[in-house]
Amino acid sequence: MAHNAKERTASSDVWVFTEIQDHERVLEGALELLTIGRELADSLGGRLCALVFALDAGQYLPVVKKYGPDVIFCASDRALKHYDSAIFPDMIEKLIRAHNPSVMLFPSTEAGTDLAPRLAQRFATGLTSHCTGLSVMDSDEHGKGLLVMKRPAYSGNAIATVICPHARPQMATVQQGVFDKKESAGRTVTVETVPFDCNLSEPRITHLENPTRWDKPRVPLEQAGVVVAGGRGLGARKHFDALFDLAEALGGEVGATRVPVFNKWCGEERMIGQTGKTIRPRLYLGFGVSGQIQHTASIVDSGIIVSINNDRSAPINDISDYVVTDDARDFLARLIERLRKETRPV
Amino acid sequence: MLSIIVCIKQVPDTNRASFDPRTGAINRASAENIANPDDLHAVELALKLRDACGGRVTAISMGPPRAADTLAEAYALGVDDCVLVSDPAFAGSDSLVTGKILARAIGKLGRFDVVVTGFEAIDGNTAHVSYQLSEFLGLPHITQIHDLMIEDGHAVIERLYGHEYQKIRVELPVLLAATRNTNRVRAPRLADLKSCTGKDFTVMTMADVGGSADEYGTAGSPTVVIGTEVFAHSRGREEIRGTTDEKVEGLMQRLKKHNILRY
Ligand SMILES: Cc1cc2nc3c(=O)[nH]c(=O)nc-3n(C[C@H](O)[C@H](O)[C@H](O)COP(=O)(O)OP(=O)(O)OC[C@H]3O[C@@H](n4cnc5c(N)ncnc54)[C@H](O)[C@@H]3O)c2cc1C
Ligand SMILES: Nc1ncnc2c1ncn2[C@@H]1O[C@H](COP(=O)(O)O)[C@@H](O)[C@H]1O
Repeated sequence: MAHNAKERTASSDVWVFTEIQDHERVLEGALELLTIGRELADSLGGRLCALVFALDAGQYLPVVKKYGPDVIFCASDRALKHYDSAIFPDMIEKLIRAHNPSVMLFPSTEAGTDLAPRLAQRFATGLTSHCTGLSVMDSDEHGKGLLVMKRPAYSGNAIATVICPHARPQMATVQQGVFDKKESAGRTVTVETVPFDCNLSEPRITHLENPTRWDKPRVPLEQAGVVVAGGRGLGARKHFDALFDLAEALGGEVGATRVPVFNKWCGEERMIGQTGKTIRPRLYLGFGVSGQIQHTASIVDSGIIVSINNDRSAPINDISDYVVTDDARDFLARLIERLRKETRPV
Repeated sequence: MLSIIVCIKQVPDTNRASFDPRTGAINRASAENIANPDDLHAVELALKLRDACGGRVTAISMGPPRAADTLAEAYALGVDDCVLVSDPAFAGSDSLVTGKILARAIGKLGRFDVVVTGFEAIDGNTAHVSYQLSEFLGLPHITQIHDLMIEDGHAVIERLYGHEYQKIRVELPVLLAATRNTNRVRAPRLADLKSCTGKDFTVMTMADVGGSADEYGTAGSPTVVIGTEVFAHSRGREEIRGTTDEKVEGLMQRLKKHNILRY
């Protein structure tokens, strides 16, 4: 087997790719990963190590330290300002070879999505993406100190449990919002500076123009207090559009299942679910959403879930606090009308 | 003249399929097998490049014998050659091993300038294979492509990456991963579809690809699925009843009770 070819003894350490977003702040999702990483490291009896690579990594350390790492590997260089697939994987590969972590966690961002499979390939190890649960187990059959990764399964309404018994590191990507972030104080942190020693003399990719910023999301769906989501049941774009009026009336954001996104009723950034965002608003309203696992796994932490569906047996109803069995388009139109009356000053 | 390889995967049409609510299993009979949506954009990208620069497009798919249907579709769209990589030993391969098999098969096909893949497949949404294939083949990996031009020996690409617009130059050979935003897919003509189902394609087995059975399939895959459980999560499920207007009113009351509406 490929993974037996170069047996290396792994430590019990847990590493988190602590991504810097837009070269201005530590990604929320990275802080969430440090939080769960702390728990995993404690269960494994290993250290939690944060990898901070940036233009000036030092400026982020005070924030990173609050989330419980034992060690921070930090590297600073102009070339680290943006994630670069010709640099980051090589540097981190070297670090892994030197320290042999047991577990590596990445946020499911553009950078994490690029970095994780490349490293998995280089170490002939397994990678499980979009995990919704992470824990540690010892098993007689498969070995000790195993990362137990849960993710929505291939074929529908199920969660698969995946392990990577032999190869190391055990690798997982996680969407933002899946885990809570929690500070964990009172630990001594060792900061190890990683020298920047990449050879950039003959890059195969060169920038012809300076990259320009083209978009900054307003309130990200992950942080919205109210999310009104639409599915196939809304039937057409014009009905989906009414969700924007409802969102405005309720002070929220519009989300969608995969169907409206594929039908181009709205942009991809509104997709909620396994391949989209994970949300936890105070209120989730689903209009014509059936409730397949790939969608619902990413809404279950919402405060209140309301479903409007003309099929009383739609699966989403089982995970709803309130169920309205009705035509979603009609109900949506009347709810907007009603809310507008309510807010009109008397 | 460009030598272009495009990777296509056959997947169950998860948008149309129905699922058993109790077991969570996909209802196979309800699921048609289709070409993975991103991969049709990959084919389109490959054909456009060929039309602009000249050359040949070879479509390659790893899967069971029925994946030949997907290759017939690729023929109908206009690719020049098709290769089916199929062997019982490959069954159950995870993304790492899939990347390895595709890389080895592509290696046997001779010189190439561009490999095009989809960004992700809708059956598992892992989006690993294109990156891992680029690692196996030692190619730069470019995705989120909006515009592409090939000039002697390099590609000029415009893309929206993260929150940035980038214009980059990449030396060939290169791996390009297409998404729905990359282009518009042409529709094959029915007549083409009919005439293509009988067309010949190359089959590669493990004997052609090289390596041994323990490197492939479940045996060679580092990840192991140790269980699946039905998603169990339930809530109060209070039914709000009445006429539509009464239901609207009922919802308004509940939202006020929970302090979401404050009037
Ligand atoms: C690997 C994988 C990843 C996926 N990732 C995601 C993801 O990230 N996000 C996601 O959302 N999906 C994802 N999906 C797709 C997911 O499985 C479902 O297909 C999708 O969520 C269904 O969307 P829907 O509820 O809008 O449509 P449907 O399942 O078709 O449901 C429509 C609902 O509307 C109701 N309805 C119809 N007409 C009316 C009406 N007039 N009034 C009221 N109700 C009506 C119907 O009763 C039905 O319940 C993924 C699938 C796979 C296989
Ligand atoms: N079995 C396969 N045969 C051919 N191409 C594949 C196969 N699996 C994955 N790919 C390619 O890799 C892309 C990403 O797939 P995935 O990593 O499974 O999401 C797909 O869009 C295909 O272009």
